[in-house]
Amino acid sequence: MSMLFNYVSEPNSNLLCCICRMPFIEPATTRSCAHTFCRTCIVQALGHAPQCPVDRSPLSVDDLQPANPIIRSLVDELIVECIHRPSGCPHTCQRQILTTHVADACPYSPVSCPKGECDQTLVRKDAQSHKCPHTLVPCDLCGAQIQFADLQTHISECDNTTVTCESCAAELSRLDLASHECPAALVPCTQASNGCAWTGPRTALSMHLISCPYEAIHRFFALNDSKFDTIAQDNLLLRHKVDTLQGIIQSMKHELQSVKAALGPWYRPDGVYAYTGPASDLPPDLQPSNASTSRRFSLGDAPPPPHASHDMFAAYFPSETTDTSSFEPAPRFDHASQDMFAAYFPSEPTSLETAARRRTLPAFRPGEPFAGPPAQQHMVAPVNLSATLEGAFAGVRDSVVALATAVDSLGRRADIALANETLRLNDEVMSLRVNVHGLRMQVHTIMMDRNAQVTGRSAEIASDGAWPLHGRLYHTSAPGQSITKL
Amino acid sequence: MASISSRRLAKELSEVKSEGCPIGINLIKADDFETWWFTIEVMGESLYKSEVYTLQFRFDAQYPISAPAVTFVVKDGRQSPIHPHVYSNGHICASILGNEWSPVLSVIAVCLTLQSMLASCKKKELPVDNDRYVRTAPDNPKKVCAHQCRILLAHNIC
Repeated sequence: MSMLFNYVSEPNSNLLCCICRMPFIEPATTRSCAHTFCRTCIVQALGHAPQCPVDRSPLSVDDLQPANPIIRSLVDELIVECIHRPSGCPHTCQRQILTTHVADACPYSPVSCPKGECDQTLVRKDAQSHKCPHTLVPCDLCGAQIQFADLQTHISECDNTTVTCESCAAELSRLDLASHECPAALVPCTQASNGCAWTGPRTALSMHLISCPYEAIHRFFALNDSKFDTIAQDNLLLRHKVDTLQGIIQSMKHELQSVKAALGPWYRPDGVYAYTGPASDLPPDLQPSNASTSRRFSLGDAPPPPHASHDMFAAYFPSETTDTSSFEPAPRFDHASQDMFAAYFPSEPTSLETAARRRTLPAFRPGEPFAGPPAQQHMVAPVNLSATLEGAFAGVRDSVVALATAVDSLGRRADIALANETLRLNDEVMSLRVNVHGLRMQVHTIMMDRNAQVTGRSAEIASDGAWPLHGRLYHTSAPGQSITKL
Repeated sequence: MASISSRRLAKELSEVKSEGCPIGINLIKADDFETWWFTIEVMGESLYKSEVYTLQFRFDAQYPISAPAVTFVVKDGRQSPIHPHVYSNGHICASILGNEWSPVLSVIAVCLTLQSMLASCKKKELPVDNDRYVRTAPDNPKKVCAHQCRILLAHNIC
């Protein structure tokens, strides 16, 4: 949009556009009829009706050409007022340079903030003195550089602002207020941390301290505090140690549980062990360790009843020991048979015995005099579940030794029996061979007798009897031979 | 561009005031750049001798590219002339107010044209379809003028 100029003097009427009645702006002349208009005016008019506004001859935008340079110069050099004259600019200049004046020089042109920090638009002549919200201005009280927008906020909290003490109504700067010890201010007693409940104005504090019972013994408080600190530190250390020990106890408890589970029925919490039977045959180097473990729970030569020793640790081991362990010294097989080792160590001695007999018996006939079960078989004792683990092992070992001995003697007896049987059989075979020979001889004699009875026909009979098939073949299939015989 | 329109009207108004109106034409109201009133009187010998009519100009923002809406005032005791191109509601059928408007025309030029139109009238009579037109005519004559002119042409009146 072109500027709307105000001309200082009345322009020559020949320079007026007949559409807008003002001096031409960017004049355009029609080629067909040589009329001149402002370019903007004629383009608009052609949009309304495609004809020359003056003579109504047909016209289009293409028929326009820039006006003669003389006309352009005449209108461009017309003297116009500054467009900011209403604001106060008295400047006048040629029309063609007014744009430059407005853009660069006119003190009434709107410009943006020269600091480029606010959105405000202001007139150029005010731009230098403009205090935008971002301009740094000194605080009158403390001299600090504050942004103009923040100045009011700053003044209200500036250190040099005069404020009034709430207690004594004295006027002093905010900076001094922090160090101001107002005599009228209410202060607590210096021994308030030790329990003195007194509160009063600062001036009365010294009077109070004379009579304050806490102040009189304030050295004791200091001493006491240091002692408490030491005790607290010791306490902390001890608590740490207790925690560590509890952890160790826990781990030991778990280990003990697993050991108990592994020992099964041989676990005895009361330390009362019955060293009976084969356990006494243990080598002496195994016994002390066993005895020491048992004595650990027995607390002396005269052990208390098993229940008492067990109750000592009942708090630490509250679990299944009370249920599974029996404190009676007498062995209880029915109880042990329910245990996890029952499958490996059958508790009934009769079943073990019959099983052993069943294994050994089939090698011998029931009637044999030397095939009866050996006496050692009865020595295979049942596993003594009331004894210690070592005792039980020794008992099992003895049983195995006895078993090995029995097997050995059994093998020897079997060898002897086998040798005897072989000799007897040899005799039988010999007698049978003699009998067979006698029979053969008798058969031979019978055959010889029969041969003597059929003498003369012996060859034919022999031929007939020995080769009957050949003879018949000969007679039927060879007539020529029979002819020869005839 | 409203500013161009108002500058052009301000220019015309200042010319009217400085140079005066042609004989028989007087400006009676130009308070703004939207509606102007003129009185118009036919000078010399004519059918409308010593009769004074009132013309109303209404301008839009497109003036002078688009024509002003020009009517005779028919209220407050004012009458429109009885003329074959002037309806009884004040609307005027004139080509320069419609198709043949040119931006180079001005308010005074329109007044002079209408003055001569009245002066050249041979017989005072209403347009042939006056009753029908007045029944249906809108307020703004520009919207129907071209159509009406074609009707009048068909009757060989225009």
